[in-house]
Amino acid sequence: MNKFTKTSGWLGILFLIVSLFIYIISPNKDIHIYTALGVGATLLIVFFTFSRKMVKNVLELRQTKHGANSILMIVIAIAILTLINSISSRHKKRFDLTEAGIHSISEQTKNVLKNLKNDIKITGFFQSESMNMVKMKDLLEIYKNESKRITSEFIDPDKNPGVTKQYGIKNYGITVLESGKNETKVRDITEEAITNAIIKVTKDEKKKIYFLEGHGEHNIKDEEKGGYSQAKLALEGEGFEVGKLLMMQEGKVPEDADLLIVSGPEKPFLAQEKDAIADYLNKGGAAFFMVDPNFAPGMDTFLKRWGVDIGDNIIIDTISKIFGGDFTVPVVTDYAEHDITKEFSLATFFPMARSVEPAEDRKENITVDTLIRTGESSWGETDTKSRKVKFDKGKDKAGPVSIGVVVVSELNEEKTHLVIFGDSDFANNYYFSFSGNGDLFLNAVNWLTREENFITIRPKKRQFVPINITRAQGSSIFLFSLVIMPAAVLIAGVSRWWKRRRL
Amino acid sequence: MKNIFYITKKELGSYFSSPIAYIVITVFLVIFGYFFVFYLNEFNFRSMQAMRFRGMLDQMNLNEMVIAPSYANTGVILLFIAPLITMRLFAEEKKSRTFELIMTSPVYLTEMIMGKFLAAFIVLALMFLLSAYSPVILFMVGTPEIGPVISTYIGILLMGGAFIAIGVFCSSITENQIVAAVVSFGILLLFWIIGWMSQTLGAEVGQVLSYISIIEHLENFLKGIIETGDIVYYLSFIGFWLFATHRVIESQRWK
Repeated sequence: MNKFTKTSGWLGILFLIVSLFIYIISPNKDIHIYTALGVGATLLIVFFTFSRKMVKNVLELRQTKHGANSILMIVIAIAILTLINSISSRHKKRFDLTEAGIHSISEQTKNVLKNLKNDIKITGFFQSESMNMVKMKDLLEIYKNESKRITSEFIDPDKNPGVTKQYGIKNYGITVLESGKNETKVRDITEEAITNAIIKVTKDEKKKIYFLEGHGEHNIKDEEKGGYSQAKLALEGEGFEVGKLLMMQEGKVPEDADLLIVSGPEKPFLAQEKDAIADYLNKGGAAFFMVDPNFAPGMDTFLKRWGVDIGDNIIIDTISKIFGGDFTVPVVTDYAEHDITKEFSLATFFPMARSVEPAEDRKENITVDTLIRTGESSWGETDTKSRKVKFDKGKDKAGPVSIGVVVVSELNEEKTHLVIFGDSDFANNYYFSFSGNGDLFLNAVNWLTREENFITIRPKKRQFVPINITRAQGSSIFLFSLVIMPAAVLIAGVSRWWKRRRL
Repeated sequence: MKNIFYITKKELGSYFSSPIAYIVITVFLVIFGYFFVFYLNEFNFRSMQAMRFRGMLDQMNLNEMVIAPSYANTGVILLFIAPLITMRLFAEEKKSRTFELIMTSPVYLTEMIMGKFLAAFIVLALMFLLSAYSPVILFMVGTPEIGPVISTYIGILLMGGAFIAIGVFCSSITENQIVAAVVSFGILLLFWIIGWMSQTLGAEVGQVLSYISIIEHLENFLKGIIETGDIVYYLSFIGFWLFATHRVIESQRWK
């Protein structure tokens, strides 16, 4: 066989490989692919034409037959193994050997997953390879193992700002669940949060939230600094339906209301309005009141009925200057052990707040708990007219001051849930994305609209037992691991060799 | 069947008459020992910190922060060590011309391959057995969970078996031990890093790639999870490479 034939043979193969390469890298460059393919094929045809004899001889060699046979058998083996493995990966069974069963999910979650009728797409927005991402990934693996309807994807907000913006994600560590047209978000990386989110997102009806209007409250359509359009968007992103309620017109709170939000009323309420709201609450309604200092006369008596004292003061916080704020924007870092704030770690800011505390003389079946408190460097200033900002003992309320409470009332048949804050501007368009403000707002809403069949799943605790190794122990462990063990093996080898020598 | 036993025995005898097995095991123990002591030290230090600050208490602290990483790193050490153990299995025979003898013996080729594989596997298992002083020490100074320790050992034994299966194959394709070791290392490395590409290549392809990745399937075992999928993977892996070895040697018969 001459050089020409040989070269054309090799070149033919080269061109075929090149065409494959182009196909992999840019599959749409049709012309290039086909050209390379064509040239390669032509060259190979030339090769085979001029080396007919050699090819015939090779093909008839026993070796070739065996070689071809072997290759065929190996290909079949790969095919069979691929099949076996894909079947096995669909029907996996897990055995969790950890004591606390931390890699398994609870019975409750298993039930939820078993009855899942829709597909759920879960998208996690985490920084690549961060601890939280790995944690969420592992957790979702368990879910995916139990139900084929769950798919997941992880997106790094830094690497994919476009998609991140599409979903309206502004922080790291948020996970979005989508099912059909419903969508909701999860911030905690716990089985409880995810399972309940699954329940929420597969429900056909959305929860309805009404923002009260007519007394100068924040407007959910207002996109200015003081508006609540951001809050509305965030709520819709959680899977809620948000609407306005002009009570004076309606006369009562609509039947389909799951939550009433009264954010920063300035003018007094009419008697009928107060009755309508009270009526709604007595029937087991939930409400989120946010009252600013110096406004909404009459609110305090209304809320007193629910065991809450609203102070006639403005919170002054001297530490806010450090955060670049103002005396009148107290910062809260002290959160109660409540579901709304249980893993809350961010600071929150409340421009112009007043104290909101449990009333001393409240009724028996009303439970009022402080949710958020300002720090020790703050106080409730009652003298709002004087220019001087000073703590007047006896008159002013000493810090830490409570500016938010949670009320659970069992006065009536149905339980009433209330969250009352002494400020409404913390969730306006300007402050919503500040630190933990938005999250706190959403957490409170989520808690107030919690499902009746909300599943409580206690996170499994790993046992932590610290060790305490003394210097001496440490040294002997070091010695044993790095010297004695290896040396023992080496000596065994040497002695064996020695014995053989002596023979 | 009994032939397998005889072959294994003979092979083990060879292993322990030459210095290579001892040296390899010693080196492994030194490196493993280093990792173990290092992680243990870290844990000790963190324990003291956690007791003082109370915040990190049950966050991540557990003895699995010592055993799991020690054995995860063992995987890397194994990339070098497994080829060294397996390189002589067939290559030696070919070199010393005993290969032809074997080819004509009444022993089935399958039994031969199984016997040699088993011998190498036993050397590996012995190595791990010797390293098992580490959980013993942990039980003496603290309270680790026994479950994950057991699953970790099952995992590395399976993964080790997979490494050895590739080594057996590479040993059968050449008569040069060095070549066998190097090719073995190369293939192992390929299977090791193939998982890294799964990040960039998108969802579908990425999933397949990370399934093929040999280290990926160890993860669950290290955490205390025994998953049937991982077991099937490793057994298929071992089965495939031993089958490939069989085909290669068969075809060499006809040379």
